Amino acid sequence: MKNFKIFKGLVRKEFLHILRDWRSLTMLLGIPIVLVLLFGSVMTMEIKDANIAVVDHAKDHDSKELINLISTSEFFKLVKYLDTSDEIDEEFKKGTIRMAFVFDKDFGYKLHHEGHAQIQLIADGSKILTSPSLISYGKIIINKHIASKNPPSRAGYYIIPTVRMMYNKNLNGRYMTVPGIMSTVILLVGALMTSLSITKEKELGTLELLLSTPINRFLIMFAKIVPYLITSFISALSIIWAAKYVFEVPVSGSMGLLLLNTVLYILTALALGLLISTFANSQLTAMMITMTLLMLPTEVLSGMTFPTDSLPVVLQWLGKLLPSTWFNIISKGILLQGAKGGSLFFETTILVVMVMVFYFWSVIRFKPRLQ
Amino acid sequence: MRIIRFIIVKEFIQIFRNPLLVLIILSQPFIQVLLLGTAGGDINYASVYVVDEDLSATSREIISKMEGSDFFDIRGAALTMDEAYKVMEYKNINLIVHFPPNFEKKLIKEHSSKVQLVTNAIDAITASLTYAYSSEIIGAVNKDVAIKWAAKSLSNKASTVSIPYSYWYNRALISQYIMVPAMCVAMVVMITILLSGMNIVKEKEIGTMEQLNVTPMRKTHFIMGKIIPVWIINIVLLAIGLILSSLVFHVPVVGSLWLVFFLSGVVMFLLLAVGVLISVISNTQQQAMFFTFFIIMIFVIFGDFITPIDNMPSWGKAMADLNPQAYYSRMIHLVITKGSGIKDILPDLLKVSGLTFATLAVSLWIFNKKD
Repeated sequence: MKNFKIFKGLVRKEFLHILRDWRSLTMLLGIPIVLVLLFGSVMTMEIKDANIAVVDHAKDHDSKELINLISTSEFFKLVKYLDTSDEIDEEFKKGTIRMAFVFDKDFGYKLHHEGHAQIQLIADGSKILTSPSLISYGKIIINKHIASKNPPSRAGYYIIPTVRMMYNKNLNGRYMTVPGIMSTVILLVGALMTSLSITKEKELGTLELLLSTPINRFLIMFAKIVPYLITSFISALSIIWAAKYVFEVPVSGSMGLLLLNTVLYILTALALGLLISTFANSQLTAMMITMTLLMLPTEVLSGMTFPTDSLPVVLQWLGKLLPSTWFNIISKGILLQGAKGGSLFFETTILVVMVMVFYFWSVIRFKPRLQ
Repeated sequence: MRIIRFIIVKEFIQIFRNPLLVLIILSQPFIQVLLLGTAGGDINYASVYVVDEDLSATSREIISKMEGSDFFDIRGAALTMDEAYKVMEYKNINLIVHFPPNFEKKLIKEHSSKVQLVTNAIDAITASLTYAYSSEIIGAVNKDVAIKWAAKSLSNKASTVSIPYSYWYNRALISQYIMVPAMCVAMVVMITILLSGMNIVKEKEIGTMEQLNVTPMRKTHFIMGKIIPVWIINIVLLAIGLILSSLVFHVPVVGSLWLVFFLSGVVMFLLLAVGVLISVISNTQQQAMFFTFFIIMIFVIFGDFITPIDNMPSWGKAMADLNPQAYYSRMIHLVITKGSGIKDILPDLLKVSGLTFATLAVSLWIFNKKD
C-alpha cells in the first residue's frame, strides 16, 4: 500500500514536469500528428504530369499522333520540343525535364513499310526512385498505341494475365507510407522523451535522489514512463484518426487489437529511451544516440518507404533489431489485411521480448546509486 | 578575432572531454553512409507462391522463366488458392501465380487462356513492378509458344516499335551512386543542426550563459565561436563520408571535388543558422530537442531523400524551396553525378545564402526582443 502511494507520488511529479512546460507539451502532442499529415500528403510515388521533352526527327503523321497521345496522357506534360539530342543534357542539368522521347528519322515510313521503327526514351539516372516508372509508363503508352494499330484478327496464341491487387485495389501509395511514418514518429518521440528526461535528472544530479526513494527501482523507472505512455497514446490516437479519416486507410481488422499493439509499441519505444539514457552522459549525447540509431535507420530499414525484402541481407538483419520493423508488419496487417491476433503472434511476441529486455537491462544498469 | 579563437578552443576542449560524444560523432559516417548507403532504395525482389492446377509444359515454362529471373524468388507451391491466400496473409509473400485447370488445353483450342496473378498490393510500387515484370515474362513465353506451334500462321507480321531506353548520368542505374551521396547529405544536415542547437541552449539551461554575458565579449563573437567548431567537425565528417563513398562504393565524382566542399561549406552555414534559431526560441534542452527533431524530420520529408520532390503537389514543392536539405541534395547530385560547374549551381547557392541571412535576421530579431 505504501509502495503504491509513493508510486502515485512519483507519477504525479512526472506529470507536473510535463504540464509545467507548455511549450514542450504542445510539441509533444502536436509534432507527431503534423509530421504524419505532412508526410502522408506529400509522399507519393505516383507519376502525374511529369515534364518531358520531345526530339522529333521524323515530324510525320505517325510521330505527331503518338506525341499527341503521350502529352495528353495523365502521366506526362510536354514542355519542350528540342531539335537535337544534345539539348537534352542542358535541360536535365537545368532540371526542366524529367524524360525525353526521341523519334527516329522516317519514323512513320519505317513503321508502315519496313514494319519496324524506333523511339528512344531517355531518363535522368540520378533519380533512381522515379525514373524507372517514367520509362515503363512511356513504354506502355507506345506499345498500346502500336498494338491498337495492328489488325486484330491474327492467328496466334495469347496467354492473358489477369491481375488482382490484394488489400489495395487502387494501388494507393498511402497504405504503405502512412503506417510507416506512424511507426517512425511514435518510436522517435517516445525514445527521445524518456532518454532526455532521465539524462536531464543525471545532469542536474536529481537522479540519485530519485533512486534513493524507498521503493523498488522497477517501480521508480515505471513511474518515469507512465506519463509519457499516456501522452504518446494520445498522439498515437490522433495519428490513427488521421490515417483513417484524412488518408482513408481502411481499418479492416479489429481496432482494439491495433490499440493494444500500439500501447505495446509505445512501451517498447519508452523502454528503449530508458536504455539509451543509461549509456548517455548528457542530454546532447542522449539525443545524438537516439537520432543516430533510430532516425535514418527506421526510415530506411523498417519498411517505411522501401520494401525490406529488397535490402541487402545484412541490412535486413539490422532492420529486424528495430522495433519499428515489427510494428510496421503488425499495423499494416491489422489495418489492411484484417489480420487477427493469431497471425501476428510472432511479431507481437518479439515486441514483448524487446520491452522486457530494454526495461530490465536499463533497470539493472541504473543499479550503482552513487558513483 | 582572438576572442573567437578562445571560444573555439573552449568548445573543442568541451567536446573532447566527453569521449562518448566524440565516439558518436565520429561513428556517423560509418553508420549513416557506410551502412545505410548499401540500401539502394531500388526494388529488386518479389517472393512468389505458385498454384499450378494445370501442370502442363506451358505453365512449367512460365514458372521456370520466373525462377530464372533475379527479381522473382519462388518460395513454394500450394495446391489450392485458399492455401496460397493464407500464406500471403501470414508470410507476406508478394505474388501468387495461379494456373487454372486446362490452362494449356484452352490455349491450344481457343488460342487464348488466362493465368491469374494475385499481388500483395500493400506496397503499391512493388505491386506494380511485380505485375509489370511477370507480364513481361508471360509475354516472352507467349512469343515462344507462338513460334513453336504456329510459325506458319504468323506470316502476316505485325508492325513493331522497339523502345530502347537509357538512363543518363548513371547508365546502369546503380542506386548506390545516388544513395551514398544522399546519405552524406542527410548526415551533415542532422549532425550540424543537432550539435549547434542543443549546444547553445545547454549554456542557457546550466546558467553558464550568464557568466559568458558578463565577459567583455560580443554576442556575435559568442555565436561564431559556437558554430565554427561544428562547421569544422562537419567538414571532417563529410570528408570521411566521401572517402568511404569512393573507396567502398566507387561512387564516381564527375564534377569538381573542391566544388562539393565549397557548396557544402555554404550550406552548412545555413544549417548552423537554423541551429542558432532553434537555440534562440528554446529555453531548455528538451524544447530544443523537440524543435530539432521536428525540423530535421521536415527537412528529410521535403528533402528529396525518400520522398521525390518531383512527384509532390505544388505546395510541397514550395516547401522544398525553403529546405536546406533539398538545395544541398540537388547541388550535390548536380556536381557529383552530372558534373555541373559553379555556373549551374550558382542560383541555388545564392538562394541558400539568402536563406542564411534571413534565418540569422529572424533569430537576431527574436533574440533582441527577449532581452
